[in-house]
Order: sequence, then C-alpha cells, then structure tokens
Amino acid sequence: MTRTITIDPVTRIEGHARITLQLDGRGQLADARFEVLEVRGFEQFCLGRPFTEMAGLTSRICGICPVSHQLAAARTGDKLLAVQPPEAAWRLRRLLNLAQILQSHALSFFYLSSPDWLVGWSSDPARRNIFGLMAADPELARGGIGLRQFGQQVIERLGGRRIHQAWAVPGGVRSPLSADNRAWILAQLPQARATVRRVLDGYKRLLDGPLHHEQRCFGSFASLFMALVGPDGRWECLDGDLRLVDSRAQVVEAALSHDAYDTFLGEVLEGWSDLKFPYYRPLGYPQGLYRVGPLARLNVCTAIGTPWADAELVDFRGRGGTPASGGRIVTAAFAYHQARLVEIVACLEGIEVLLQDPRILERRVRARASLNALEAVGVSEAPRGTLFHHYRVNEDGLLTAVNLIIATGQNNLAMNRTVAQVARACLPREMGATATIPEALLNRVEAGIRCYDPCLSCSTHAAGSMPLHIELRDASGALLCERVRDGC
Amino acid sequence: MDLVIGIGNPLRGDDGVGALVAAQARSLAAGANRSRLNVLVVQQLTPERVLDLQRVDRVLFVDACLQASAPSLQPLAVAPPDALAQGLSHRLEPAELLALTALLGGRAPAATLLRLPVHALDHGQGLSQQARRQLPQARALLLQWMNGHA
Repeated sequence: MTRTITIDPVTRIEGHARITLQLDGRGQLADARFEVLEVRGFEQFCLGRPFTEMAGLTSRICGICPVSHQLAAARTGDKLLAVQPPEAAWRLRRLLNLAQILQSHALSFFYLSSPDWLVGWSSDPARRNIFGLMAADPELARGGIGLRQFGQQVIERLGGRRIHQAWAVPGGVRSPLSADNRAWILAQLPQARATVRRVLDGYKRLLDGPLHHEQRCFGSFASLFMALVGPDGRWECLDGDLRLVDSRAQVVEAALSHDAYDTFLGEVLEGWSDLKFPYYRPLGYPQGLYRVGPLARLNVCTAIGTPWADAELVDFRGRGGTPASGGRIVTAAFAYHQARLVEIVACLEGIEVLLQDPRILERRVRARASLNALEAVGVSEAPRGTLFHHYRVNEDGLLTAVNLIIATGQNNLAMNRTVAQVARACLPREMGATATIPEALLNRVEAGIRCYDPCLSCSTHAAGSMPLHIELRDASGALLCERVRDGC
Repeated sequence: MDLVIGIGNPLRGDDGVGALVAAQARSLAAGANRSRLNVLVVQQLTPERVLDLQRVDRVLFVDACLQASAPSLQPLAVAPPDALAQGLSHRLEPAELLALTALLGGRAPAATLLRLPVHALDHGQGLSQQARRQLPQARALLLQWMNGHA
C-alpha cells in the first residue's frame, strides 16, 4: 500500500515550502520532493524599468540578503556602463559583502539551525527555536544575536540603513567610508572574534560527540561544487573566476565565463515546484546537480588567505573530507553549518584587513558613464551561494529581459536529494497503516533543508506562526492518520 | 538612559507615523539638551533589538495602531512565556521583544507604547490628513513621556 507523507510547511527556513515523501507498498521511500510554493515574479515586473533601478528593486527581493542582490545588480550595471569602479569602491563593496555574509550566517546558525542540536532533535517543537536556545544557553544566544547585529551595523554605517539601503550602484558606491565609522567597526572586532571563538570551540565539542555521525553522513552524496575564486584559487565573495570542482577534488572548469553562464548552466521548471532547477549542462538533467554556498566555497577554494580562517579550513576538511578526495572535499550537507562558522571567521578577518588599509578611506568611489552595452551579466557570492543577474536593455536603458539565477535555486536538486537521503535513513523499517509519524523524522527531514539555509521568498519568515499539518494517505487518497502542530 | 523606538514603514502611508513622531524626539531632546535619550527608527522589531533594550532604563515604542481612535500612551507588560512559545518571526511585538530582553538579561526596561491611529495604509509616502491633524497631540504625549510624567 503506497503512502504520501507531507510536511507542510517546512519550518525555520526563509520562505514557504513543503516536503512530500512518497512510500511504496513496502513502506520504503520511493520519491521525495522539496516543493516551493511561492512566485516572486521579479523577472517579469522589472521589465520596462531603467536598469539603474535594479539595485534598489532587486534588493527588495529579500530582507535577509538585500545586499547580495544589490551588489550583483550594481555589477551588471557596471558592465552596461562599461566602467571599472574605482579601487576604493571595490574595497567598500567587498566590506559590505563580508558584513552581509557574516550577519546572514549568524542568523542561519544561531536562530534557525542550532536549536535542533542544542535544544534537541526530538525536543518539544514549542521550545526548539531561538527562545529555547536563549533558555538553554543564554550566553550563546546573546553571542549569536550580537554577531548578527554587528554585521547589520556595519551595513548600516556603510549604506545608511540595515536593510534595503541604496548604496552600491552601477559604477561604484554612493559615498566613501568615514574615519569615524572605520574606527567604530574596528573597535567591535575583538568582541566579535571572541564570540566566534567560543562558539567554534563549543560546536567542535558537539562535532566530536553527538554530531559526529551527522558531520560525515547527513545529506552526504557526491556532487559538483561551484563558487567564485580569487587569485591562486582563494576564497572569494565578490568577483573572480567561476570554478567548478567534483567530489574527487578534480577541477572540472577552472574559469567559466560569467557572461556565457547560459552555455553551461541550464534551468528546468518542474510542475510541482515554483523554484527552478539549475543544472550543469554538459552532464544533463538531473545528473548535472551541483551545489553552491558555504560548503561549495570551502570545497572549491585552495585556501582562504587569512590565518585563523585557514586554520579552521584545515579543521573543517580534517573532520569531513572524504577518502575519495584525499580529504580535500566535504560532501555531507550537515557540514554547511561548520562551513558557515568558518566563513564568519573569514569575514571578520577580511573586514579587519580591509579596514587596516588606509586606502579604504579614499574619496573617489564612483565612475560615471552613459549606457555602453545592451546586455550584461553580474555575478557575486551571496551568503547562500553564487548569484547571477542577467539584464538586456534597449537603447534607452530600459530592461527588455531579466534572468536571475538565485543561489538557493542552484541547490534545489541537492536539497531534494538530501531530503530523500535523510528520509531513507530515518524512516522506520515498516510503516504500518496506523503508524504514528515520528517527530524525529519530521524534524530531521526539515533539518536536511536547513543545512542549505534556503532563502525562498522576500523578507518574511514566520516559523511557529504557521501550523504543521502532516497527513498519511493511502493510494486511494483516504486519510489514514494526521498530526497537527501549532508551531515550532 | 531612555530609548524611543519608532516602528513602521514610511512607504505605506500612515504606517510611517511612528517613524515620523519618533524622529521628533531627536529634535525635542536636542532642544532640551537631553543627552541620555537615544532614538531608533525601524521598519519592524527584530530579535537584535534585545541588545538595545538591555542598556536602557525606559523605552517608548511609537507605532501606528489600527485599534486606536486617538493618540494615547499605554503601559506595556512583558509578554508571558507562552506567547514566546508561538515561535519566531522577523516581526516581533513590543511585548515579545521585552520578553526576549528579560529572558536574555534577567530584566526588561519600563516600557510604554505610544499608540497612533491610522486612516490610510496605501502604498506611497506621506500621512493622511486625519493622521497629520493628530500629530500635535502625539507630540504632546511624546513630550509628556520624555519628561517622566508617563
């Protein structure tokens, strides 16, 4: 007797989605789907707008990663103007992106994911959230909130507001950094570093203990990994070569062309999800599955380039690197969490390096020009992975075509694979007709999605205010049993 | 140290009234040479604001309120623990933020809500005529709170 288990909605992620698990007649997993149930529509309603508005428009795609879209849009605008922003503008954009990645990773790690392992996988859902974390470990919660606030404050000091600021523009940025703001940011770094060091120490104890299995096996499968890299293949967040490596650490593509992304990336729209499925064209769909984001960036880069972050990268690979890759590539999705902490370290060190260079205060921060190209692609690394903004404009600079390849979408195939893998591992051997759906199964499957920290919608996230309704139905659609949870 | 937090979206008509009135606190404080007053203007309350509340003795939240017919000051209590069990949103109510502050730091500041009536929430900047007419009363209540009479 076949059955369908539906987890709707998936909680503690950004956006709205459900998971459907299809069991065959033996109660074994036959299919798993991560279904995204919202449509943003930006690719359509931006048509006809001046390309110069896109940094402001697309930053409103999301309230968590507005900076990412703003930077990608500004980069695309650079190319449409055919200008090279001044060096100071590049440094300031990088500073902005490092702050953005830091605050976004803090949100993901502390608010959304850590309650699972700090409050408990099978704990009461009413407590398995940031409030439960505050009760269980107020010091950790305070540190996480502080890190997020620090990143937001850097963004605010650069661009005037924490969310939806209008600072990065085609040609550069609107204003230079003041000496006062530079001094203020530098003064906050020691506390931020101390917080991250405490968190890393505590998290590594968990990885050595109760999370040892997850670090190696949870959501683990071979895949390609894609990310930007800088000189010598170093970790990069803003611009550089687009590189693809496989699970054996072989470089599949060393420097893919940003402008020709559609020659190597294809997109498929499945009927059961509103989120597109990008894939690597040479391998076809769905074999061309690839992953982006923190795990991919750490797998693709040769090194990060700052001392503490490089030491953490060595630890990261030592814990989860596979034998097939000589310990170089980590394939478990669960390792995204440690990867985020490593990247927070990289961001803190990167911010300090930028601020210690007096050129960060240079006043020339914007190049100006008229329209000089009718098509361009801007690429940057968002917290969740590589982000593409592709615009075509007419002679008046009005948009005639927009294609956005969002980081989360590029992980869509991988998220579906992870859900299947985790469900297969967690399902009881026999799911009888009256079997209760274990709470541990529900949360573990959701946690598989949380590894990727998906950002599925604009700016709202309401975990706990949406009830969780699980239904078990037989092949005829008759309801066998159901569970309703008011919030988690 | 006192804190005034204006809440609202200035691109949604009267929803921006909280931000407008809170911003007036800055000029009032400067005119009265009050250095122990901070003013924040936010689109919505998020958990990070806990760190701002932990450092203050009194806080005034200024927000548009659909149920309000006239500007008024309302003392705020900390939300009960059960309310927090409903989960996390990017948008917190003032009482929930106070509860988070108490949970994390053992105490919450004395809190008041300046409720401002709304009449139009259409997309766009600027207040409705009705909202503008009530600004003097709102300003008087703001001053009352700043002077410690509320």
